[in-house]
Amino acid sequence: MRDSNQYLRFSLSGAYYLISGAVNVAIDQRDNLEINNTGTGHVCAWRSHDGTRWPAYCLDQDFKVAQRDDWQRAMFFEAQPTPVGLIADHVQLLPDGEAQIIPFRPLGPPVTAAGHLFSGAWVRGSQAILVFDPKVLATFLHNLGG
Amino acid sequence: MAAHAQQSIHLIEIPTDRLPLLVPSATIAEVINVGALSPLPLAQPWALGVTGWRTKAVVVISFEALLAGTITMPGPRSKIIVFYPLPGANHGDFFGVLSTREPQPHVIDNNTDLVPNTAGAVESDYVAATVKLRDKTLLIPDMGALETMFYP
Repeated sequence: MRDSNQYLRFSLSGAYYLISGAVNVAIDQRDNLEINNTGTGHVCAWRSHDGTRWPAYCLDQDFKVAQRDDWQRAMFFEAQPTPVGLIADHVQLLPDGEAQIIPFRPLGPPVTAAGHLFSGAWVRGSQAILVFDPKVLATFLHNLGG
Repeated sequence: MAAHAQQSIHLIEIPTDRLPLLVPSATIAEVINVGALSPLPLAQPWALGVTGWRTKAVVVISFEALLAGTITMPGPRSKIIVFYPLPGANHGDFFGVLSTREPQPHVIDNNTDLVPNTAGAVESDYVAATVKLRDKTLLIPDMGALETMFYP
């Protein structure tokens, strides 16, 4: 998926978000992942790749780390030192040009040293679907640690 | 004898769960109904969420949360007061303040109508003045302090 006019829509704990199609995103089904059954740590599951393990995190509606078992897929974003994943529901690639994105800047201090988590929005009537800044999202997820 | 032109000041009273706010009507772009309010994860407690207005995404804030940390959620009569961007903000940075009900316009012709509140001022970084307008006590927000908080 490398089309900057396309967006991937997904839901996290009941709210929809977007991320640009220009970002390298891989979607993996739960069956392909190693689930964290230890009951400890922040990581929900890992994807094994060439001797490395890519962590995937599950977030609640406040973006705090959550542990839940009713998920089916994870989205992995290109990042350093390894890709990093997010458990997401209802993942859908929107048709080219459907989402009209405007710049958006949250109020208040940025949540990471890399900046604000959101950089755009798709407004439809009174609904605003926020668009992640992919680099900041990856930084945020990596900072969650093990 | 030179005639003194009488100057009218147009103000809007914004009801909140605490004292109402008083702002120049020229700072307000529109009053809208509360529609969908998307969450803004990891934001400050005073940021209630984001709503769509015209073609823009507008962050809606709770002034009560700024004053006392008490977060107010929309009620059946609530409105969102959409403010023009603060001086120094990007031209698209409109923001909204949650009101408990329809705001009230006031026109001040006589400068004795609006006086400092002799009973004492509300101490807050975000309040520029506590005033009496006829029989009501109101708070004038400190827009400079809001700008510093919005864009640190």
